Amino acid sequence: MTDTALTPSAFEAHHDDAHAHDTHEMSFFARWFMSTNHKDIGTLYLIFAIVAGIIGGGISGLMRAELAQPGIQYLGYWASFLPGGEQGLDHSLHLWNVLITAHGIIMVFFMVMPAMIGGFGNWFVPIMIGAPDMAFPRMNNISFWLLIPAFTLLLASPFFGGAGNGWTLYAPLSTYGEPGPSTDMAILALHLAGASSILGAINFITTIFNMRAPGMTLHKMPLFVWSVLVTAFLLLLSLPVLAAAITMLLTDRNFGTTFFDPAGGGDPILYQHLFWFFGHPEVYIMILPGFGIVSQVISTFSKKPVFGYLGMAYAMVAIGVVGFVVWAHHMFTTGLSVNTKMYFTAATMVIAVPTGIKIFSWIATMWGGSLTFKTPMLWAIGFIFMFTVGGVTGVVLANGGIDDYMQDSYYVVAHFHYVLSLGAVFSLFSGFYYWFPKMTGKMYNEFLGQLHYWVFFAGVNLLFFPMHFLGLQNMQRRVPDYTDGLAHWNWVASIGYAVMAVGMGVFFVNLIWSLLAGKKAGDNPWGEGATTLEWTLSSPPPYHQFETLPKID
Amino acid sequence: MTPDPHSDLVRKRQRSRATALALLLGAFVVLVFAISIAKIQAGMPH
Repeated sequence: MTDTALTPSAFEAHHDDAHAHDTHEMSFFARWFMSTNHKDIGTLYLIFAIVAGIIGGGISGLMRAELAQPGIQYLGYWASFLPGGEQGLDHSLHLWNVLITAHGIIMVFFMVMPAMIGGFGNWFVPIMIGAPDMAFPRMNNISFWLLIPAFTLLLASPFFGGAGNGWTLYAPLSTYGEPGPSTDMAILALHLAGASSILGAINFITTIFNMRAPGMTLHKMPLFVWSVLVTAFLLLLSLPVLAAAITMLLTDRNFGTTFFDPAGGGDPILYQHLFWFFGHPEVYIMILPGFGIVSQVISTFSKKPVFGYLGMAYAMVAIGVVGFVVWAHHMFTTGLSVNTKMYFTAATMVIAVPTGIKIFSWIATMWGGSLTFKTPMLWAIGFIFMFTVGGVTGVVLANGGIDDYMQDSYYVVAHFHYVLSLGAVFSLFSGFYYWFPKMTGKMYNEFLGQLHYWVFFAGVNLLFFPMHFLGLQNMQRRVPDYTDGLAHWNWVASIGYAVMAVGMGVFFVNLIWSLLAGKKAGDNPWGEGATTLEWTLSSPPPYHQFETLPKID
Repeated sequence: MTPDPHSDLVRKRQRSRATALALLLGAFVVLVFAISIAKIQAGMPH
């Protein structure tokens, strides 16, 4: 019931089980290392994202442990494990920079993006449009496997000195500020991850435009497919600019060019413009598929078509378009003229309009619906609440004048974690629980799912809400020490991290329990509310689906 | 079950259109990459 046209009886999907036995003829290596099957590759992406999430989340645990009290507690000790051993305060502070850089890059490029687009996109876009697979299955395989060397390069970089530039890799710290191979490794990791995403984006756009089953018009596509389509265009337009920027970083570092060096006529601020021309759309790249997932889930568990289907679809298009003309709101303190700041303030606030359309449409979908509060629905409702909080603080920060005060404070950290760590991650969990029965053929444990939700919800709010107060008291981000007056809320935030970690423990227990002993899932465990094509297939779906074209009226 | 000839024909047409579109999108990516570097080079004082 995600769109206005499809009803369960309006199409005939084929349970083409004739090739279901294909998997039995493939060796483990052939199936999982050379796979061209969109569902297998989707599974690989999800496993990869979980592993990256554990590492990236673990790093933030180290950070919260260090920040639990004022002063430097553990950094020197941790630094002693890296090559060269403990070498004094500077070395410890550099390790801090390495940790924040790794946490940011891992969570953005190796957790959220692979899970949202690579994982759920690969699994469900072809099925939802009635296609047997992605348009380019081998390219799909390459997209995934490019991530492995990329991630390896990033993880290995601390053993060569450590890249401590921040996830933005600002010049001049990333050009002549940090010699040694580590920053080159981090840049190359981004190059490979970017190439992976560009290939993926081409594949998704081609698949969605060309591989739809007859009758599946653009305006009948589920909103999750719309969200991936818009996301793929954002990737295609923004990533080449990032690739160009970090290529110039590499040549500045290694070949004597001066693109970002004033001594040679270059400009470090130019790098920031290029980075944020990519970086701001990147925010929407991470959240738009989450919008799509939440739309599916809210509709299913309200047993109603989503309110304002076309408005919802074109709101995502509008967010994507406007998202490209607001980048310099990340640079309000770099000496922009007042007029420029006025423009970027106004343009940024405009984004609140299509975003508001989506929030109100989700609420209107639930209004008068026959609601059931299963685990995916809890995560979806939590998403709406948390994302709205992050959106509201985003409107505050959009003001150039206010941002002069807030820039680089913990208020900003609180804002983007509410949008991403709470927004994107809540939508990921919503999608995971929603589609888990379809992907595995097993039901998850409802009690553990709900327990996971409530513990995680309490933990992340305890973790991130105090950061607003810390930011207003001008605690600076990217610094491992602070004055005694900031100790209380930092302690509370670190306790919040521990609560969140317990919630994640419940998730993993549920995951393992459900995989080993979960009840068998039916084709459509969510009932009449779930009307998209994946629910017409068996759980798990056959290895090849829709070899005979489904008919969509 | 053997896929019916109509499905095969539709899928073949889809694949050829997909190849053309992918090449176009790939060319676009290369163009944006090259323009970004060229414009920045052009903006630097000589």
